[in-house]
Amino acid sequence: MTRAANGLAAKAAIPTADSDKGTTADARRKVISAARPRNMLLRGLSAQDFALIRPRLERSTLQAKDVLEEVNGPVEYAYFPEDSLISVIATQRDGKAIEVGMVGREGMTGTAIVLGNGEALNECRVQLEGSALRIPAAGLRELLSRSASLHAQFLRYMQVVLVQATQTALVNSHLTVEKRLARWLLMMHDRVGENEFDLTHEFLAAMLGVRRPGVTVALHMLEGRHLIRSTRSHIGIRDRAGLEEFVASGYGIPEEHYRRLFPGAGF
Amino acid sequence: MPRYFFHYRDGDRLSEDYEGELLPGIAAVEETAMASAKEIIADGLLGGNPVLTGYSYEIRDEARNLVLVFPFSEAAEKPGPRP
Amino acid sequence: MYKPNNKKYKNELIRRLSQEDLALVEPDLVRCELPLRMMLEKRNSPIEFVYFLEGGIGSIVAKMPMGRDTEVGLIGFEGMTGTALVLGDDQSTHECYVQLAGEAHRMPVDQLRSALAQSTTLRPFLLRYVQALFIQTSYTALVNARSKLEERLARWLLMCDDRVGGDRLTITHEFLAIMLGVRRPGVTVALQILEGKGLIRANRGEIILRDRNGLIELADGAYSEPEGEYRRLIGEIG
Repeated sequence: MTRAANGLAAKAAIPTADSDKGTTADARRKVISAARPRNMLLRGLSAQDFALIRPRLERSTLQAKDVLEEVNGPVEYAYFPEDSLISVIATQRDGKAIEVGMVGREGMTGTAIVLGNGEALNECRVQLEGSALRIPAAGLRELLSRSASLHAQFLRYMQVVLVQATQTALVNSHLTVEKRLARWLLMMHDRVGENEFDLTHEFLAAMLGVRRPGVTVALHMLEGRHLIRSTRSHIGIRDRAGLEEFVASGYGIPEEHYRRLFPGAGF
Repeated sequence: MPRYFFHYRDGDRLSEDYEGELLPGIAAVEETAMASAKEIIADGLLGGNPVLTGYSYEIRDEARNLVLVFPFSEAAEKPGPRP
Repeated sequence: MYKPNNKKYKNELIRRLSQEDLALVEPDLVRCELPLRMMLEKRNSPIEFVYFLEGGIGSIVAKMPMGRDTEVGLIGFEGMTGTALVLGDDQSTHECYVQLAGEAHRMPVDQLRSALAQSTTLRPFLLRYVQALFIQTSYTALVNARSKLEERLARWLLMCDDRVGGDRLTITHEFLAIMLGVRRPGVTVALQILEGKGLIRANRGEIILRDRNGLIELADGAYSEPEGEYRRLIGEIG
């Protein structure tokens, strides 16, 4: 199991609008800007709640394939991605696995902390490298008990996480691999905000629960419809509206609920 | 709407559909049979099995009149509605 | 930690409420019948009542606008409807209706909301059930992508049997079709496969589980792991 902590200190000292010029490097490591946070869930917090959580946050660099939570393992940190992307993966003991959710700049990991229990319910694995803010589980738990509004905000996000899982269950039984792939690319696009991704077919196959050659075929078909551009381990979105039209009702329900529950987040 | 019973035949064995379903007419019966057979065949294939073309639906109306025999082979060979 | 002390209830959650929390919710619990197909929650609509099931089965059903219903959650006497409310939302994302008649204690949402606000222990306890349901749903997503029809059927039959008991299920093919996400005629085919393996007997409108262990083996890990998580989070059923 790899952890995302390597190299953290080096990357964490991001100059911020309000960082005190005189603080030591070690203290500054933890200073997160009081300006508009890049993570939308944090951005949606009240000024008071953000002031409460901000001093406990530290910036961390996540590498692709880092495992942040293991099923039934302890949850050490909750992560708020800034431009990284994390997969929530249901895993059976025999190794069968499928992605049931995706967390990017709109969300957070650490479901088990917010819902109260200590053990991870699903696996969380980094999909796209990038930065995230994180808070230790104990610190978050303490804040949740101190601020009812903070807890309420994060609980509402868990409702979106649950809806993501139910929609995934639905599309897994009703959509073709090609449509599921298109849905997946749209969801990723929403959560990262970039048009180009470095992704291997092997990784996509694991996320969608199909064999790798099937991903190659599905990518080829989407490319034939001029919706994406795909080369070895690289995918670019060419026509977002076209992708949405193609997946139709298979995409968008968790996103709709997110916007309803967090109107101020800018998602 | 009339009720149709989709009995399932596997060689000599007939599994009865006691419940049936309401459908507007023979065209809908055929469409349902086609889509359902495609679904079963696809699931079998995904499970590593050969195509189950020896099976069929024997569809009867409430008076037990035979309305349609639908061999699964048709679903394997012909286009139809998406299951 | 969560002992089933309130033995006059069959609902596993109410049985485990602390005396203080029980005193808080009990005055607002009203016993009611759950007839087949009764709508417990409407899609994208405000939730009116939360149901703590005493018997029967409620099914959380997701719908594609042009497509068929597919079950994404199963609730019996081990659970409750209205998990969105426990998470602080006021509306349900999916439909939830009765697939097997039973009874429940229901509570108006305003009363539950005020009980949640008054107690420091009620929400944390109910959130444990939310986690169990989340795991159940995650496994449903997993089996829908990865498991064969007969394996999924074995899992659902076991899950229904856990909530009904007696190894005898009176469930319609229409319901099984929603559980499996297939057209109704295909259910006969899947039942026949299990019957051929000697695991069940399907009689007119009734399914008899002949070999539970065989069904568990066929379900291949998709059954029993989520059930183990329920026991870990909430406790032993029954």
